[in-house]
Amino acid sequence: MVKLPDWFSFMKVRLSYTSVGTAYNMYITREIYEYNDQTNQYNTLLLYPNRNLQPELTNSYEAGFNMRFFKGALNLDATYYKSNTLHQTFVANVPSTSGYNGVYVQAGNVQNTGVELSLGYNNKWNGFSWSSNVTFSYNENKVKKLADGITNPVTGEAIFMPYLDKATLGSTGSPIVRLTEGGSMGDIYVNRDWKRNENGYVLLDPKTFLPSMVDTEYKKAGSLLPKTHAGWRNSFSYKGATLNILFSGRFGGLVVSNTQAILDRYGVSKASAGVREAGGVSISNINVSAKDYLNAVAAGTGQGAHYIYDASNIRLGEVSLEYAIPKKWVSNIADVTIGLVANNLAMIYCKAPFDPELVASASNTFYTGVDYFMQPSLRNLGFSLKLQF
Amino acid sequence: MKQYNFKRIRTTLSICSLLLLASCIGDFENFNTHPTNPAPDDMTAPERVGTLFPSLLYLMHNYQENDNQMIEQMIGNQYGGYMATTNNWQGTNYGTFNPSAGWMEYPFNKLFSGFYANYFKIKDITGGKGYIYAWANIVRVGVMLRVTDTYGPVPYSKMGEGQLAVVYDDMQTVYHNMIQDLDNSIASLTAFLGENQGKANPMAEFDLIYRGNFSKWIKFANSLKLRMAIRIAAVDTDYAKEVMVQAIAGGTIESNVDNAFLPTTDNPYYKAAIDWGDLAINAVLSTYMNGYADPRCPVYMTKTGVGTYIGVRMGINNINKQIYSMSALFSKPNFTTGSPLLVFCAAETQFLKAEAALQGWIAGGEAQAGAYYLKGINTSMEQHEVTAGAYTTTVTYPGAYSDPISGITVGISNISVPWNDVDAAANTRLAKIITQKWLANYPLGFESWCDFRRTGYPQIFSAQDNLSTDGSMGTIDNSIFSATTYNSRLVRRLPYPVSEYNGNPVNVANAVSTMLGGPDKGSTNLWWAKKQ
Repeated sequence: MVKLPDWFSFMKVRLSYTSVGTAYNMYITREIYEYNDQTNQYNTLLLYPNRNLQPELTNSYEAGFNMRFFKGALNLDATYYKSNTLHQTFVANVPSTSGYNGVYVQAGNVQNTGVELSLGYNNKWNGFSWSSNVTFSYNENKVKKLADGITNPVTGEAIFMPYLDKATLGSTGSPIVRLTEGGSMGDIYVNRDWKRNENGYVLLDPKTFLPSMVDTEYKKAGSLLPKTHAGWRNSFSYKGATLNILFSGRFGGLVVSNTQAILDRYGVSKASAGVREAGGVSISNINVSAKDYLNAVAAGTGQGAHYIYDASNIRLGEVSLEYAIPKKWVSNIADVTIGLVANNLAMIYCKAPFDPELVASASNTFYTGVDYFMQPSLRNLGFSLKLQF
Repeated sequence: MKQYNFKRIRTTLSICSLLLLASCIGDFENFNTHPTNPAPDDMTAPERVGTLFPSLLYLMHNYQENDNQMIEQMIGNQYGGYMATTNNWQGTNYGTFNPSAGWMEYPFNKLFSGFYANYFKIKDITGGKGYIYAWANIVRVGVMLRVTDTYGPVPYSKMGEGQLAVVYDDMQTVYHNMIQDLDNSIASLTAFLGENQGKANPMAEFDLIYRGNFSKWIKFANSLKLRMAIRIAAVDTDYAKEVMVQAIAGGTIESNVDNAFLPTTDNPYYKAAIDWGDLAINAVLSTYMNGYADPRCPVYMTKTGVGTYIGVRMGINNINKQIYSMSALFSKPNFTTGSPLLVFCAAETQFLKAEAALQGWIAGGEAQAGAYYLKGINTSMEQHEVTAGAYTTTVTYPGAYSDPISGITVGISNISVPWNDVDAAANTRLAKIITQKWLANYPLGFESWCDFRRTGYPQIFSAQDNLSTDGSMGTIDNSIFSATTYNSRLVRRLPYPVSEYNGNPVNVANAVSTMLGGPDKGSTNLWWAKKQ
């Protein structure tokens, strides 16, 4: 074996491969008459029947190592992973002249590759100890393949699926989540913009001198998915007292705020006050009043890219102070630890008008990063008492 | 010792997994059975086909609140001059001729996929024969006529052959195939009635219109034939005349007891007008009815706070919903939550016959046309339980409309009610027939929009603001009425869905280049609506 230097105390290498199947949704294999409780009517399934379905499959590789140096004072843990999810069940659009709404097809290849790193240091000086841990993770999500070009099992025709729309983040005119080959699962597209002249300048109505919004081609505005997450935890201990401080951050990705749009339109947000106090907005040297401007950009739940924000944020995630009461003070009955705990204490950097880490929907994978009058995120201030016998 | 342990563990594991496996398979059927939605095996034979009919019937006049708003209110009733929308939404509206692409494909996709999946199932179960299939085919014509008259050439004759990308038929082929389907259905239902005299119809509980009285469905089918014959009278004259003769001989809907209505318990017009504030009476309708002192006016629309009847003009850019949705200022469609939805009324038959007589297809010519005209008016009055009084003899004109908020004024030609008060310019006999047909057919907006496109009547106000562009539905001719001419063309059709261009590109492109006779825009005339 190789002789490692003295400061290299430990190393472990790991490698794994897993393949996990997931069932498709219940009931889709059976012919049923669907009852619509709004109209009190029955319909057959409006999806073209596909009798050849298989479970979704996720194959993942993971490689990593764990190293310790200086007798464990410094440790490094690194992981690289790559997973591919195959045979996803899509509903492909079919032209309505086929008589159906869609068809189940199983195709696709969604790939996640990423790195997770953790670097820790801990040491003791007499009664004082310090431990510090930095974590970093990076994930890249890529839709390598949708069902475009896959042959329909019934008719033998190639399926046309250059993209797949999964969610509208608000009402008509707000951004949508659209999957494309080569894109990610969180790509958002917008199709509303100012009415412009051939030189790209915003066009004002010749009579009313007001700008207006028009439908455009769908343009990619970015992705909802974060690029990296990072965290930094510090613990200081001295004679039974421990102070923990955690900073955490998320970098990259976008969020959408419908709330901001609606508040702007009603003129009750801070942003709308800003526009009003500035005397409106100047477009092509013509002043458009705050009301007219906001009525245009904030129509519905916000038009086009006007209510998309950078989701990057850094926060003071946790601060806690604990004190272990010496056992003899309580007649050696128990280990008693008292503490003050505070979570989500302060936002150090945030450009979005709401906490971008809040998740709106627990059931829809794609309806994330959008705020429609969500509860604000909680700040917890607590007191803890631990007894250990 | 170790070896033994290992074996025992393995055995135990195997037994456990076998048990797990067994229980999984045993319950699979149960797990995979939907808790509320029935499978075909759970139903009796009549239920298996019958339960699919109500949703098909409602495609002849959409009931579901969003479907009704997106199809009947925004398009049919607005372009047909009965109603106007009062919500600005995203500023992209039918009234201002700039609806979004998603809105314009909605009726097409809704009616096609809403109809055919169920229809294929019915065809599958019935084997494509018998009285139930015949009934489904009458409904098919009732639904698909709305689609072809809105978009133009559509797939019809090649539907149900298993392809996802279906070939289109030109409108003449669609019409001829539809008439053929109606003829086959009439023959099949006639045979069924002959063989089953006095027996209860197993479809009665699913037939929301006639409760299983299939002799009335034969009248309905003949009435559809008559409606279609008159529509194509100018472009396919010999064939149309033949169809008309057959339809009238076969027996049409002549009396109000045979009127086709779909029941509601949650009327979508009421909901949109009263609960949502999205819908008002169209200024065209209130202007005509005020001008004629029409006795049906209080039946059709609500009174404003000052006791008048006044509608909203179509196509007000940036409409202020708070103001234009106030029932104190503007009239609303006068429906209750339980008002039924019109599919075909006896008065329409009379006006169709009047038009046929006017062009010499029915013996008696103009005098006979006048008799049908009067009968049409009286049948409509009877349907709405009002008396005509001096309505048919008083010479009055609709006059002009002035928006009470903006003061913008618009007018229509002098068209009066009495049959013999005519002039050569606008107040023609045809103008009278279509205008009165329009007043009787409320709220069957799609029919009135068809008549407007075919004949120029009823005269409908141009949109106050025309926001049409080449990009959306195309540039729309919104020329304003003047005292001497009235030639607004307005919207002639809707463009084909984006979903067809994506999913059925070859066939839709072929339909546009070889069948439509113009670009795929809202300004292109349909086959039967060419300018004459």
